[in-house]
Amino acid sequence: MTPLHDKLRAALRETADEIPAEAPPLQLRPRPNAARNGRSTRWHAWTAPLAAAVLVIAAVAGSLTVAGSLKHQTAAAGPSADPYGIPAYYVALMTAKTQSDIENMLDSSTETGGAAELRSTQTGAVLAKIMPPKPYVSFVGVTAAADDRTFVLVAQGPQPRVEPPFPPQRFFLLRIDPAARAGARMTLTALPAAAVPAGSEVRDMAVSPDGTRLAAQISDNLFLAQDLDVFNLATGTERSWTTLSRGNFLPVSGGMLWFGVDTDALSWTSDSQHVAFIWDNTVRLLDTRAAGSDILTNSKTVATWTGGVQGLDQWRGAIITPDGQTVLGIESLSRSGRNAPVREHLVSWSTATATGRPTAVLNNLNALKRREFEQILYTSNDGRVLVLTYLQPGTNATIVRDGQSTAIPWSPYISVAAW
Amino acid sequence: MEPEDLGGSAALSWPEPGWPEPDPPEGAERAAAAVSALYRAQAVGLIRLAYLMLGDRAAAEDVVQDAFCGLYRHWDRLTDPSGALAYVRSSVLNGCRTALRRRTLSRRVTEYQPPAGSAEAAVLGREERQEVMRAVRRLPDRQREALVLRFYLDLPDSEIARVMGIRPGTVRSAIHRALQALGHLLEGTS
Repeated sequence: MTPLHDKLRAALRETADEIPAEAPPLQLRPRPNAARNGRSTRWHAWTAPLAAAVLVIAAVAGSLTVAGSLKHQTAAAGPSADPYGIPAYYVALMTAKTQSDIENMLDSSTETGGAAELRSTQTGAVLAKIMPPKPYVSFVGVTAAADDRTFVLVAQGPQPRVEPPFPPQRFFLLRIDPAARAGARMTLTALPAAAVPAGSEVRDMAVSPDGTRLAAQISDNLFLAQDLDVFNLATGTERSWTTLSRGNFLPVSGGMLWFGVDTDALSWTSDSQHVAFIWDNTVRLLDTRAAGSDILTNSKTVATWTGGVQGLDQWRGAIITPDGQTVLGIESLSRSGRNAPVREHLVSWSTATATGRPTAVLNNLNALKRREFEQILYTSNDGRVLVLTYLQPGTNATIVRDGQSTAIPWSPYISVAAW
Repeated sequence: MEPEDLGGSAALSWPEPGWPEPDPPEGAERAAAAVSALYRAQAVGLIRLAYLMLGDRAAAEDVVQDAFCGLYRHWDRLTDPSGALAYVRSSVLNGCRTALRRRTLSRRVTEYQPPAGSAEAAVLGREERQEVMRAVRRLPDRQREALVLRFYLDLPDSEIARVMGIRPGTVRSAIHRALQALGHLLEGTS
């Protein structure tokens, strides 16, 4: 407990005590006919076409052996969705509630993940549905390699009713092979990396562009996370970096605000050797092949965010472009006036200068008539083409290229996706 | 589309003015009793919760009243009655969010002057408390909610997640960010 915690607790309690201990009488109004409620109807309306669109159900239950080794694939290996060069399909994690459902709070259950869906970038059509293998009940995280057909998913078990609050989790490898015969186009295999025990959770992760390694931040029920792990997907071997220095990985599992694992908190350069991560208000680049195990002394600062002096300002995401030249992030600035709306910008830093200051504001996201951009789901090699999610209302996604925004067909039930 | 069958003329009749209300169905009675009992047990705490979010007692009472009316209306759809408190807490927070959106509250909030209260009993000085509360009310809604649920109601992460409809990991993230922001805000005023 810190002095700030104590001060906050005292202020809240003393302020709350201003309300007398007697509530005004409750006045209940007549109840409408419960049969008029349309929520269940709306659910059926959504689930029917989704079910009809399912082409493949792949649920290869968790074996400890990986089917074959992953070979290097170039970024051009997969089909592209013209005209932006974005991979033709993505894996989306689906939720039972939209953001609007949560805002309306029609029931008290926590939003739950569930199946993953392979979707077409161009049309949004569901190409396949992937169910979590038992005993896991939902997918809560996804990351994609640059080859367009290698994904890593995090599946988790049922929510425990008692502490610890986190169910066990496990990494699964999803491989897509469009050229294979029907029924063999997708495989889902448990990775040999150790299962994440109950009480801990995967907060952020990123698979390397060549699909051979996975960077992950796994944390227990504490605020501060100090470790970064890199797993070899074929063997399960693990290398960890940590530090005794005071600091923190940020953001932690909050890029989408309310769903899933971040997709833009950890990122790799195209050599599958360097991982970028946020440490307090800096972005650091770690050479995962170099000796050493200290997360700070083995990494170097490549960007510093300087916009947080007012405390309410925030930045979200820090994704390094595969060419390693640029770091991209989204900043929310509230200091233009006490009541002024938040201004959101897509900002870039040149990793070559490392002067600390952003080198360019690529987009005034408010000018695109969007609000609350959440995550950078995809960047092209040089960062000129991006896929961003935003709320307006519910989760949406858009391609941003040269200042122009093009909406992607999107379901409000998608919590997060990876290309 | 075929017109809906209203079941004959009886369905179209209006009760005469002054006639006694028909007996409510048994389910409605049960719902009213359960909701009233929950109100008696929890209303003060929930009004205080809403007051921390809004800084306005009348608005806080309205929000809580609406939340319990909502619970009563939707009682049949509550899959687990033991979750009623979590439901109504969620509704209160949602009502606070709506109230904050609907009015230009910032001026009232930031110039909020708490009553003098019992200075002797206070752990914090009045000025210090006001300063903390002003900072709390400058936080984004979701961060403030998470902070109040943790540091006022002392709810564990899993329950805060349930009430807010978010993942436990996100609760910690929101609280972490809120504490960071709060620290900055309080540093700036000291």
